[in-house]
Amino acid sequence: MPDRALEGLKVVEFGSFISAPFCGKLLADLGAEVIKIEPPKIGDEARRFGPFPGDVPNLEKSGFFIYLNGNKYGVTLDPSTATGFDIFTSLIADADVLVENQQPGVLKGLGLDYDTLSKLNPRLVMTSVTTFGRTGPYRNYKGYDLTAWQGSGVAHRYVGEPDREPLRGSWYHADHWSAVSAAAATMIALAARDLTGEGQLVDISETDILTTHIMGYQIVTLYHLTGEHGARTGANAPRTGAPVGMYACKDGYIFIMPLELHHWHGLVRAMGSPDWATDPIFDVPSHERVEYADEIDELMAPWFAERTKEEVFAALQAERVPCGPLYNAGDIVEHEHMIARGFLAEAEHPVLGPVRVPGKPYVLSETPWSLVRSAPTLGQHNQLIYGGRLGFSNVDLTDLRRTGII
Amino acid sequence: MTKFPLENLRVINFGWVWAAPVLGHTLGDMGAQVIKIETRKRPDVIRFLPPSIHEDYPLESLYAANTFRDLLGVTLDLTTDKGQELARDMVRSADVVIENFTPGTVKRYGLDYDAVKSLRPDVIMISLSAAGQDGPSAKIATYGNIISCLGGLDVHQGYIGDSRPTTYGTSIPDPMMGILGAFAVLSALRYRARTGKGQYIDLSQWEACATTLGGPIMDYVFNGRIQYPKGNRDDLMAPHGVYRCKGKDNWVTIAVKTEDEWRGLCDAMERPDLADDERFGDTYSRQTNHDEMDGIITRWTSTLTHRQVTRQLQRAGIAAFPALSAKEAFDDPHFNARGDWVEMDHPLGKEVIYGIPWKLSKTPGGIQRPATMMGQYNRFVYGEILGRTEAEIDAMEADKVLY
Repeated sequence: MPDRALEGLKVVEFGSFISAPFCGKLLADLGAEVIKIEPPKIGDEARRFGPFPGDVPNLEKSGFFIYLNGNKYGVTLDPSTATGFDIFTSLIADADVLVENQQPGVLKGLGLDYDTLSKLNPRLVMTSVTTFGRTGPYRNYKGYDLTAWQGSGVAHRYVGEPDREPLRGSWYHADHWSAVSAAAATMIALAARDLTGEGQLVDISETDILTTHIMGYQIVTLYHLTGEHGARTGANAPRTGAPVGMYACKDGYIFIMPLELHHWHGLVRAMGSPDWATDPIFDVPSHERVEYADEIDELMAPWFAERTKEEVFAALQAERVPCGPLYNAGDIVEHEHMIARGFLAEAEHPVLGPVRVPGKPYVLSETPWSLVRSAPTLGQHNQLIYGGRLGFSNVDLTDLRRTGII
Repeated sequence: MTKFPLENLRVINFGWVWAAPVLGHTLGDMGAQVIKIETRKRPDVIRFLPPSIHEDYPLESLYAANTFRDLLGVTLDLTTDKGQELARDMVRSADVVIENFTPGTVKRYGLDYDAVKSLRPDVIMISLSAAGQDGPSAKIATYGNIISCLGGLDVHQGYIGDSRPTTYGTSIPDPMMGILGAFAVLSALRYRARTGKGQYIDLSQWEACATTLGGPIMDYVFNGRIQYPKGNRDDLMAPHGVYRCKGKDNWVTIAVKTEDEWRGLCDAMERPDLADDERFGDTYSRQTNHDEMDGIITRWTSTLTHRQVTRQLQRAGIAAFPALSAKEAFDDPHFNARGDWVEMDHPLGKEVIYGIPWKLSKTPGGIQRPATMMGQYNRFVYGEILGRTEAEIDAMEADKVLY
């Protein structure tokens, strides 16, 4: 087996659903040893989320759980018991990283907050993902993915129609993006530890992640310069360039963005250089063409409507016009490009047998992304970790099981 | 103890638009020296998308003002021999090289990984392309908004039952791709610290988007089912939505996970009878009767402001929060207390830009330089770092090598 980039890194994951588990997954997929702690009997929420084969709920058959938790070791533990607490701290004493996404107050209630854990292990990097972060007026507020989209200002400004309620964005994307941020920030904290010898608390707030990067990349500056900040505009108008947007094809939609002048020329050629399109009044930068946006849309519509989205995609890409069809999950995994690059990965699951899951976001030439093992069943590695690592005997383990501690 | 844990790192950023500058500044904010290569022959599109920070400087857009911070901008025409020679010199001193051109482009400049590696064997090079370096669609032309469409983000966003697809009013994937790239680079650096080996990272933004769609993809893999937008609703929680409040475009989010929380909401609405109403007796029933329940909740929320609903429900342990407007988010004490908005002295005037998105307790990093203007650091980079004389730099400017 090739080397793995994060070989030797010991991570404890104490979280549920997406943000902490996806962060743990990013680390595990590059070779970190991730021990995932789940509550006894019920496990991670993602186990109840599904989707399940044939829609039959089963804690061991949730596709989403299996996807998010590949490459990890799974143990069960109730740290609110005295023995459970001791086991938790034993795992932490030996860890480089703790990733958690408990609601505010939960860790403190368990006596497992950063101040306590850092005394036990000063080299620990503790990465905490919450909706509002560990400081500031809303630090004790409860929240979820929805709260982050809406609370960050992103939904109100950018998602949804102006006369309707603001919308959360795509599929738990605030959770996923925060997990990616947590993984990057964890690596920064580990780089810092290489210099200083000390661990630290990495405080990730989902609302911070969205608001800084999306509200911040332009309009926060505009607001402070001019007082303006714009409002959500819905699907198409008003626009900063034309033609830009989602166009209806025979069998679906394609999103086009000919922002540069040469893109516009390419689009005109792809459409067969119709007379209207070669009019010099349109031969101007995209943002000046906005004046004629509706007129252009109307003139372009028939050419798109007569073709499939793949035909339009191919014709426009042949002229180097930035565009792409509106794809769903099936379109993505069945796409020849995804198949050619081997997007889906497969591993043998203890209950379901071979299961295909979404695979690598990147290829690292020396230390490739790899799915070494499927997600653990509930408590699958109790024996391995508690017995093998912490030295509990089989009798101890039976007791722990009987008392509901594991 | 240093605030800047990456201060020993040098990064050469050939990348442009949004994701690559974010990858650069993510490292730069933490102390890395990040040199951004640009050319006036084809300025970074992000530089001239209006509005700009000053009307006399159309290449200093507000996008650049935010995402080009902590980058040392130099001009360099990579199509010239002399320009490529300078690029090779930079690469020799680099720990990390970033690029996001269409696959194949760097080879024309003599900057593909094999060439870069021959100049600096332990370099980490990352390409952030739309679709990866190989495969039938490798060379597609895109922007982030298009990746969002290809990668399945757009199709999972929208109102329930709307036939017309919607898109975001911005590019959602770009900054996440920059941060994901930073994670991959930092992981590769960790490997290099252990083994002395560099490597090449091929990040496909299309695939990276699709890795955030575990549920819909697994539903397709298991059941052949295609999922569509669920508005503001959720499979595990109900009620879960955005409710109209008193005032113009004033909305509050409410998400209820447990039966205790549901009872708490009923009490807050002064409708304890609903707690025993079988239409809403468990999450499943509440999901089935969500529209009806939403009507009841809206009758209550519409008499209050989003702040009033939030205070009342959070006190009862329920996840409620305003759908903040842009203005409210910028003025909000929480985001300001957490340093999300930072005032900087840009050469063209004072500005507010976004701060460091995450908070590290001991080595927080920080924004050291406002956005680089076009070619602002030519003298510093070519003179002090690469050792060219003033006369040589003048000549290269005159010959439009530095252009």
